[in-house]
Amino acid sequence: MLGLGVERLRADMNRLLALLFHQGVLDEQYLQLQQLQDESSPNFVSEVVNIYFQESEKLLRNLRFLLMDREFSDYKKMGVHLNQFIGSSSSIGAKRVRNVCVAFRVASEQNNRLGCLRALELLEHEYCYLKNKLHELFQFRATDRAAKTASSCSQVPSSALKQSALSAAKQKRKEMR
Amino acid sequence: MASMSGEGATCKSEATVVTDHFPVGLRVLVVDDDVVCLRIIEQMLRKCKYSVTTCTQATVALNLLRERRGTFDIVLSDVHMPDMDGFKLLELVGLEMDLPVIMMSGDGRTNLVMRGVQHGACDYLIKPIRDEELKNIWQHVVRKRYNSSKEHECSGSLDDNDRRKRGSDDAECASSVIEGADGVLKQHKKKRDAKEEDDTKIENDDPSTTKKPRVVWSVELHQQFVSAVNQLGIDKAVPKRILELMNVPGLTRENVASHLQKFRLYLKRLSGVVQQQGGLPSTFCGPIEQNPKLGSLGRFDIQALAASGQIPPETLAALQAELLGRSTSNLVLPAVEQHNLLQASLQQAKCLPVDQVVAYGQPLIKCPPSISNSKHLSQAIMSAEDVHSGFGSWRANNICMVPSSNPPGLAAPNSNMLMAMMQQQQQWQKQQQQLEQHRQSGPPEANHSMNVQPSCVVLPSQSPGNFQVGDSPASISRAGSLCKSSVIDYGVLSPQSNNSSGVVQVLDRELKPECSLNRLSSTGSLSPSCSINADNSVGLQLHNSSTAFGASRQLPGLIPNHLGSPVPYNSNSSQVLDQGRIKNPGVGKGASIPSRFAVNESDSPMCNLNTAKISLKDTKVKQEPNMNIMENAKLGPGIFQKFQLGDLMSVFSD
Repeated sequence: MLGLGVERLRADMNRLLALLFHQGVLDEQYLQLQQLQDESSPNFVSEVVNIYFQESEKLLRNLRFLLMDREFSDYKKMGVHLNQFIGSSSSIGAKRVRNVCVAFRVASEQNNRLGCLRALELLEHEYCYLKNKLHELFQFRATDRAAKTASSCSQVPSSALKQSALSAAKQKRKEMR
Repeated sequence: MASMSGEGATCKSEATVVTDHFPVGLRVLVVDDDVVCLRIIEQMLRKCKYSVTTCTQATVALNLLRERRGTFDIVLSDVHMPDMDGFKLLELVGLEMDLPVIMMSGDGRTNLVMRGVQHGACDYLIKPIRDEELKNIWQHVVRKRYNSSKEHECSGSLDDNDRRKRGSDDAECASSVIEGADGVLKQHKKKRDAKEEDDTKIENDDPSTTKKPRVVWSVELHQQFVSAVNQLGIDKAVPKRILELMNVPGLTRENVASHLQKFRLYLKRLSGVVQQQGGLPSTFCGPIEQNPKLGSLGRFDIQALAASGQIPPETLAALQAELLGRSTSNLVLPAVEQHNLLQASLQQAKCLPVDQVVAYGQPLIKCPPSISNSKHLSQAIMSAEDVHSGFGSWRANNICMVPSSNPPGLAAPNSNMLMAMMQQQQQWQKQQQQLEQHRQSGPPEANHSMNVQPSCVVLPSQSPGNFQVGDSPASISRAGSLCKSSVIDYGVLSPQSNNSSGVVQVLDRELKPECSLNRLSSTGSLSPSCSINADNSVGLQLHNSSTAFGASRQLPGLIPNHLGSPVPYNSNSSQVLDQGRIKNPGVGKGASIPSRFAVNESDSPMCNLNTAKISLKDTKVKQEPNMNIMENAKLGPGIFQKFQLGDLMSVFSD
């Protein structure tokens, strides 16, 4: 049964989202992002998150590069990168990444190289975790969407019952958001 | 690369009047180098049905704003951008197009927000930005129009004062919240609520009815304005005369008045910022590593303006002339003599701290040749900044008289006397100033002629010999870094201000932190220099000076507790410590920070003299140091953090 599959998929997705919220990986800003998605930009969330991934990886590379210089680490520049990282992370609601960035910034302001290195490790870890989880989430969403289009194409006349169930599920999802 | 998007920016050149669906179609320019934020904000603004143009570079944004004047209603700008500081963009936009600018940053620390407010941001949003905040930005557009529609000079300045007060109130709130963007955000929201209330009032008045045709100050018009001001001289430039000189149809006196006001404020701010860059540190703080942002800002301002054609060469010359006029007025010897007279008469009046301030003024007056020249020499290029920086420190002299008569703790008869003398002196200085302006109408190179080699580190043993450094260039020996040289000049000169017994004491004390009580009392006598320090430029400093003043008077009480430790010096008189720095790097490091504290204070040219006079409230006095401490703590090396925090706090909360 396709409809049931969709339901389960959605349940999984919501569970994952709830987990991420519970863990403090994401915060309500992510929901804001979801609310911004509409007909005019149906892929807004994934679009933004992908930009975020690109930028973050650039920033992480730069930070690592700056810290690799054993003799002279440019803490000021690090601070600039971190400010940007904080800004973008908080904008997509990546709460834990943001918090680590704040700690990192404190360490860089104190010219604390060891602290910076530790923070960078943590930051990379948090970032990878976030990236994996968000990918998972998008995977769900993609299959969900595929299923939706498939169901709407194939089962148009079959049963009004299924249709109504689907729209109810849709409604539910909206409420969840 | 600037990614241009948005449908609105291309057309609709007429100024949007308040229509039925007013906030709909508000033309917003968003500048942020962070593409993630940019995309999100863009989407949020779209949702609000605003027409959005985005841009990732500040310079591109500025060009866009210049090329397509009148096609934007409001600007949202990030603070940290690689090609141009957001504050600079803010300043340029404020001066050129008079558009409301909202700053945004992930960094919500008070000093940063304060800088935004000082540079004229109408709001400061902390990332993550929420759509509730963006929904409401139209209010700034309306408010700006509402304010500019009643462009009377006095009412305008009153408004400004209100706004400033509000700004500092906000800062007060925010300063109680330590770090944590969330907390600040809450405060921020509170503020916004308050603003909304205001706004409803404004709305009731219906801005569309009060609205007059707005004057767009194009580059040409501004140049006309500037040349008119130059012709009249900045001091004598009154709106009416400027209007006559400009002879532009359709321009009203009110338009000119408000622009003049803005221009003056801008000059003030320039001098304030630049002075941090040069004047103050070189005088008081010594080889401090300066906050490069502040420094570069000041330098950048002038250059960028000149480059953009916004400030033509004549303006620079005018700036220089103006500033030089003031600075030289203080150089004039007769003024000094009057100082001495005043001081002599005061000494009988048993008003110790005050006459020490006066006495202290003396070396300040004599310093200029040595410091300014060494600076000029070492910088090789004579630019407006140099004059500014020179100006910054001497001007203190004018102002330091004012607070000295103000503090409430002062004996009343004395303060009256002081007031009278102060006025007299101000008159005198004005006269001098005018005289000097005539005399020094040429470019500041005139000053240059009294070349003094930058002196280098002066050893304590040398100091009695160098007693007259300010006066005789010959006594200065080798070349050194300019910062050092000026500090040393100053340090050497400072004993001059005290009576002869003080000469060695000052230097001694720096070497040995543990000292007898009478020496300490002389610390007290020196610490008014702190107030001079803080006085350096404009309005706000007045509070400070009185704080510093109060602190210095309490000093004798404080000192016994700290006897033998260098800490009290740290907290109380930056100047003393700067001297200490030369010989005792440990103390010096700490010292440089309080003195930067003074520098930071002078970064706030927003308050007018009159506000300062009116509201000499404790709250303000307390609050300002607090927020600066935050910055200091960050700048300073870890070890000293505790000291500064604790001690500055204790001094100011006392």
